[in-house]
This record gives sequence, structure tokens and C-alpha cells, in this order.
Amino acid sequence: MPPVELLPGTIDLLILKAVSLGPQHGYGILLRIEHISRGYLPIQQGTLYPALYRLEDRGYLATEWGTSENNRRAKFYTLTPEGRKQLRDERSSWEQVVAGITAALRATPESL
Amino acid sequence: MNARLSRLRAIARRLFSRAAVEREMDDEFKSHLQHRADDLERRGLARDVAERAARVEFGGVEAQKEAARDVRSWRLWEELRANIAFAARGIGHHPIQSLIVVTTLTLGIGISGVVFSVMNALAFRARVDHDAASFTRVLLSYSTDTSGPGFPGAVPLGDYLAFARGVHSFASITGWQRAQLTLSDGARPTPSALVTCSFFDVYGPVRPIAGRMLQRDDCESHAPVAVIGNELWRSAFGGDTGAVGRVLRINGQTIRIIGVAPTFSSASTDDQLWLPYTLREPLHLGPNDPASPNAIRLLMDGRLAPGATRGDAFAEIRVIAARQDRLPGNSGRRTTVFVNDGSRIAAPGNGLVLGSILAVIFVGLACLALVATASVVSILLAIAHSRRTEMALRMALGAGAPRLAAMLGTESLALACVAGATASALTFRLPRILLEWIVQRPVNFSLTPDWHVFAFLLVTTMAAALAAANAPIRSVLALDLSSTLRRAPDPTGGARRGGRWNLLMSVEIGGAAVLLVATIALTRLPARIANAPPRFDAGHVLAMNLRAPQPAVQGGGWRSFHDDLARSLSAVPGVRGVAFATAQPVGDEATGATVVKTAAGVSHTLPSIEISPSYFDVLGLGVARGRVFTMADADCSAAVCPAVVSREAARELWGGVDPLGQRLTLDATHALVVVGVAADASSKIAEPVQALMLYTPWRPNARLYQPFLKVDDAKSGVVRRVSSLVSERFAGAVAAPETVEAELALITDAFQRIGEAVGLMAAITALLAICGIYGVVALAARRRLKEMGIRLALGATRRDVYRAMVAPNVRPLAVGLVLGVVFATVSALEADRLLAQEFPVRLADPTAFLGAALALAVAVAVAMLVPARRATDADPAIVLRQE
Repeated sequence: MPPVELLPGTIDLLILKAVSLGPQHGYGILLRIEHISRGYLPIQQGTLYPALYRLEDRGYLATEWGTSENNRRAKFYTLTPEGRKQLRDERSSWEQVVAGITAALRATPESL
Repeated sequence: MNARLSRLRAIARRLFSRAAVEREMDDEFKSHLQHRADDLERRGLARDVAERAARVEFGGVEAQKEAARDVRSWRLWEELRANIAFAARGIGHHPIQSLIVVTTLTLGIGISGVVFSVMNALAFRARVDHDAASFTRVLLSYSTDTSGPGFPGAVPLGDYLAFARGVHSFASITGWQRAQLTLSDGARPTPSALVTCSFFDVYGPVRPIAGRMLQRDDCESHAPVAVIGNELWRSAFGGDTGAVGRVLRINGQTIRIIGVAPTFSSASTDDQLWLPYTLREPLHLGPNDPASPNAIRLLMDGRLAPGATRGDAFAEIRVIAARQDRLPGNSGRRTTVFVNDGSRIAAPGNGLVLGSILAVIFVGLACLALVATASVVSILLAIAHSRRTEMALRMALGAGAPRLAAMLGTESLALACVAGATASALTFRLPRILLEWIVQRPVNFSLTPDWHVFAFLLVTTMAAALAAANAPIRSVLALDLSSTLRRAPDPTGGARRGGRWNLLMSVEIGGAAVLLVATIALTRLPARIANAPPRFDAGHVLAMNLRAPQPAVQGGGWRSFHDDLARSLSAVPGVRGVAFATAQPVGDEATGATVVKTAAGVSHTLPSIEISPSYFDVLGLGVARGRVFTMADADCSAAVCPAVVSREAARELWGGVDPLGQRLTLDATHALVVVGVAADASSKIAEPVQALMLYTPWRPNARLYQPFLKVDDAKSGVVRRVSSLVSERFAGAVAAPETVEAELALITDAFQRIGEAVGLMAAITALLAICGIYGVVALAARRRLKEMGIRLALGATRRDVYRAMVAPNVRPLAVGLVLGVVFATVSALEADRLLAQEFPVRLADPTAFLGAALALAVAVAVAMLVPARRATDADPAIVLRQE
């Protein structure tokens, strides 16, 4: 199946989910999202950092410089408790949206 | 909590260590590119190819950074900081123009603020130091009152006591009456007040400098005690705290000082001596019996009780007043109640007069604001014009209109804020200095600006900032990018900027012309006063300034008092004649106003004085036609009474027609017939307006008339002699004789100082307007130096350069000058018309116009020629290299 475009506003949810799996640097987050979405949701590099900075600015992500798997200096992002709560909230909203849309799409003339 | 703290720390770090934050972003992006290149290298690409591919995939680093910056919450602060830096750079590039802008705005806002502050203190608030909201004044008028030497609005003692007992809407209430008491024979009377003993509670709390204030017992016990004021304490007792307990001799009585009051704001602001009102009788000032028709009348002030409103107070007072009206002694009386906040503007009858004076003042301030704004806008426009290339570049690089507007707006706001802050400091300090200089004595009431003044300053500053920012922002936003960046040739060097530019210059020059005319007219006022001939013998006329208790009817009343007084005064050596009148002919607040209708049916309001027959003789005023009054004219109760008019009044009323025998209708049943025409009594300050006068015969038994004495030499001791005679022969009477000339001098001096103060302010502002014009023209010329360098290098002569520099400016400036002078003429004529009734100042003065036009023409010529000269002196090679 070919990659699809991200729905507006969903990049924050994906970044929070990716970071919740373990501290990661910017490029690593990009790869992790591609990996966990099985390649369906490639992230534009131009949208990654504004989203990361926005989440950091809101206090959902904390940062720390460290050494990457490539033995390079990199800035690692971790989830803060507020970030964890935000992830829960966004996930629950998302699941409601999906459930709603799925139910709507399965509707038949008989179900009316 | 920790997350919040670390977030705050991060924000603070980003705000204050911007370089470090930028570096961190660089490092992170570099790290991203390296990781991506590592990946690509692992997939088989050569390192340099992998790095290039990573960069291409990532896109423009600067654009990424800008997008990243945009999401930060401190972005606003960053922009603000950048805007402030831009403003500081702009100010640094044009320091002279910026200084002129700030100074012009400071003066524009400051002068308006000072005037507003003084007006606010004088007219719009009660003279109290604390809690003006609860201060309330009660004024009453009685249908049975006849005009006389009373205090309008004051309450007879009987009514006051009824109010004081009966009202619940007041927490405290006081009554007071001013008096002039002489502390030693021959000395000038001391302004004093007879007060109820709650006076200092209502106007206080007043903490005594020494001793104590009056207490309730002092009034009830009739104790001969007094509180003295700070000034009297210093002048009479050298500021010695031992003054408490010492005694004063007043009208033959011994009064003990119980306390020294500090300077405090009150309605009796000039008073220096406060005594219990119950001392009135012991001091021979009148009876203490509330039932007496001559009982003291008290002005009534109070403090509202918590939760009570002035409406409650009004209702309560009206009920009590109606009850008082029904008392047997008050039959047929009807009382009207006024309750207000104690400000002058709220006093009955004051609103219209004060309102029109304030309107004229505010129109003047609006003119000043217009000039200041036009000057500032034209300078800022010129600066914006000089920056148009920079702005076009910024727009080309992606800076949006809101961003550019914010940058330019910050600069205007910064300049306006500096000006506003300086103006606020001026408004805090100047009103007292100015007022004390004009009246030449300490001002004993608070002039501290209240929230009204600060709100005025804030609104004015913001309005100035908006006005200053608007035009430059609009001019930059309307830029044509391509032509600006290609530097399309502008044959006028930017001098021809359309109607708006010409309009601004016209307003500026017009405003400068008005201000210059005002300056010249006002600064010439002292010379006009000094050179104008006196038209009556003011130096040899003593005004007695007499105060006397009402004489008993059985003793002959006022008529007998006046006869006795005239006989006694005539006998004093050095006195040549005695006359009685309600007022002196010039500048006297006691002058009345009479509405008359001519036979043609035209109504006029004329200043009027009631006079005794010898008035014209004593004052040295000639009677040009007809006759003066005789004793038979006094107490005229006929349907038609005689009148004398001044020559100016005759001209005003009947033009060239003979005034003798003309009738002036007063009402349906009363009229005057003109029996004489007196010379105009203009004094040194009085212009024709004040020479309008209607003289009517006195009614010697109706009231106290002021005596005027014709004396040989006012310095020969006659003043002391008549003063002693009055206090010795007439119990309770006090005179403060002074020559009419000296009294007029007080008014002329005050006018002179007002003229000087306003003239100085107008001169400074006019100078700033001229500096503004110079700044704009010079800036426009400086930008053309390169063009002139090229012209000179190509063989142009100095004459050509002069012509090229001057020609484009001549038209707008000439238009401005013509429009300005027309504007100034119309304004001056209109101001004269509006002010004619109040001030003897003429702005429509041909010399002033000529002077102003010349000054402006010189200033404009210098503004054009100096930069032109610089252009011709410039070395083309150097000028071209600099550009």
C-alpha cells in the first residue's frame, strides 16, 4: 500500500507516541514513526522540528544532549508527565474519531 | 511542577541567551544531517554525495529555523526585542530628527497635561486632600433673599443647626464663613474664617503642627480660642511652637492660640485664622442668636456617611428645608436646594461660564496638538521615505506587512513613550510652579494630578503614538517594490510627495504662524499695558474694601451708616471727596450685569454699577454729555429711572444717534432713561470691552456700598488714618484701603505673567515647529547629495545646484505659508471674538502677523538654503564614494 498523507494535527500524536517508546533524537523520531506506522506515514523533514519545538514549548517533551547509536552528539527528546497525559488524551480523542468515522462508513440503508 | 519550572527556565534562557539557543538549533540540525548522511552512506552512497543528498532532502536550513522559531511562545518577545533594536537603530541614525520629535511631543503632551491638570484642580474637583468622593457641598437659595452683601448659597445659622441635627446621610457636616480680621491696628486684615467646630473633621483629618485643632466643646463653651495657619505662624511667630498658648488681640478681644494648622486644601484656602463661629458676638461681628435676621450665614460642607449618596443627602436636606420654610419666622419663604461635589464647575450658574472658558482653552490645546502632530508626522514620514529601500528589501525577503508595521510602530511608540514619560514628570511639577508664579503667593490647595490627569496623559500619548505611526506605516506599506528597488529616478528628490505632504507642511507652517502670532501678541502685552494711558485718576482714588455688620434698623440702617461714614471720612486730612458704589469701574468682581433692551428691540448685557452722585467726581471721570446723578435720583422706585452710560456703551447701543433721552427697557414695568454720557473708564489694561458700562443711582438704604475716597497723596498716611477711623468709630467694621491703581496692578501683573507664560510656551512650540520644517527639508536635501555630486561632476554650476535644490521645495512651502497666514488670521480673529468678554488681549495684531510671516519666511529660507550650500560645497568624488 502506498504512503498516505498525514491528517492535519496528527503529527503531534505520532511524535508523542514515538518518544513514549523511549528517548530519541530528531532524526531517530522520524525513522521510528516510519517504522511503527509500517511505512504508511512518512514525515516531511520540514514539519518535524517545528512540531518538536512546539511540543517542547508546551512542556510535553524534555531534552538532553547525549551520544547516538552512530556515536554522534545528538539532542534526545523524552516524554514528560504532562506529555504522557497529553498522549493519553489525544489517543482517546483519536480513537473516538476513528470509531465514529468507522461506524459512519459501515452504515447501510438498512441500518437507518 | 518540575516540568513547569524547567519550562520557565528554558523560556528565560531562550529570552536572555538568544545566541546560545540559536547555536543549539544549528547543532541539532547539523546532527540531523549527519545521521541522515550516515544512513545514506550505509546504503552505498559516497560520503560527500550522501551529505549533499541529506542537505537537499532537509531543505533550506534558514527556512527550517524560521519555521521553528515561529512556533515558540517567546517569539513575541523576540519580535519585540527586534523591533526595539530596530527603533534604537532608527533613532541612532537620525538623532537630531528623533530629538525634535521627542521634544515636540513632550511639549505638546506636557503643555496640554499641565493646562489640563491646572483646570482639573481649579474647576473639576473639590479642594480637599482626602476622599473627594465623599465630600459634598450644600447650597441653598431662598425666595425671600434680596441681593446684598451676603454669601450666595450660604445658610442662616438657624437652618444650619436644623440640618446639622437632622441629617443622617452625612458622617460629618460643617458650616463656615470667611471674615477679614485685623490682628493689630493699621495692619492688613488677615483672611480668616468663623467655623463650626467640626470644620477640621470635614476638611481633614488635619494633623496640627503644634497644639490641637478645634473641638466641639470650643463652640459650645464660646471659648476665645483660635487655630492659626502655617503662613501666619511663620510670619508672626517665626515658626516657634511656643506660639500655642499665646494670645492675639482681635477687635479688642483676647483670643488664645490653641493650635497651628499645616497647609491643607480647603474651600477657605487662603485663610490663616480659624475661630469658633460662636465668637462672632464677642468679636462685635454680629449676633449669635439664630433667630436674629442678622444671624451668621454659613457655607455648608460635609462628608457623606458610608453607603449614602448625594441623592440621599439632597432628599434629606430638601425635607428639612421645607420644614424650616414652614416655621413662623419664615412665612412665604421657599428654599431651593443644590447638592454637589464641591467643584467649581458644579456650582450653580458656573457651568456655562466655566464651560466656555474651558472650551476656548481646549480649542487652543487642540491647535497645539495639531501642530505638534503635523510636525512629528512630517519628520517621521521623511525618515520613513529615507528608509524605503531597506523596507522594500525586507518585503522582498518575505517580511509581511504586519511585521513591518510593527517595526515602524515600535519606533513611533518608543518616541511617544519617552515624550509621554517626560511630559508626565512636567505635569507633576509644573502646575504648582506656574500657578504660584502667576499669583505670586503660595497656593494652599492640592495640585497633585489625579487619575483624570494620568488618564488624559495616557490617552494623549497613545493618540500621539498612533498619529505618529500611522502615516509612516502607510507610506511604507504602499511601496512599489520593483520601482523602489530599481531606484527609479525621482526628479524632485522626494520633495514632491503629493497632496498629503503639502497639507502637512501647510498645517505645520499654519500652526507655527498661529503660535508665533500668539507669542508676539502676548509678549507685547506688558508693553501695551505700560504705554496705554490711564483714563481715570486711579492713583488718587482709595478703594476702602470695607466690611461691616448690618446696622440696626432703629439706628437708621444702612442710610444712616453711609451718611456717618461719609461725614467721618470727609473730615480726615488728605481726603478730598467720598463716593459710594457697588464697584470700581474696572476689573472689579462686584460689577453687576444688567440685561437691557433698546427701543429698537435689541437686547444687550451691560456691566453695571450703582453709584452715589459724587462717584464721577471722585474717580476723575468726566461727563461728556448730560448730567450726573443728584441726591434726588437715589432710591429710585419709579417706573423709569435715570441712567448714565459710558461713551463706549452709547456707541455700542445707538451708534451715532444721540444717546440722551434714549430708553432702555429692563422688564415689563421698569425702564431706564439716559441722562448722561460718561467718559470711558478704561484703565491701563482695559480695552474698549471693559469701557462698556451702565451706571444707575444707588439705593443707600438697601445694602452696604463700598466707599471710594479721592485723596491728595495716597502715601501720606491717609491710608492708616482712614483705616483706624473705621475700626474706632464703627464697631465691627474693618477697612483695607488700597489705591485703585494698586488693585489694578495686581490684575495687570497677573495678566502680564499669564501673557509671559503662555507666550513662552507658544514661542518654544513655534520654534519646534520651525525646527520640524527645517528637519524635513534638510533631510530631503541630504538624500540628494549624490545627485548633486553627479551634476557637479558633469559640469553643473553652483547656481544650477542651488536651483535644483531649492526649486522643488518652493511651491509646497509657499502654499503652506499662504495657507498658514490665512489660517492664523481666521484663528486669531475667531479667538479674539470668543475671548473678548474675558480677556483684554488682542491676537489679531498686524505687527504680530508681519513678524510671524517674516520669521517663518526666514526660517523656511534657511531650511532650504543651508542644505543647498552644503551640496554645492561637497566634493563630488567624496559624495559619490560615500553613497
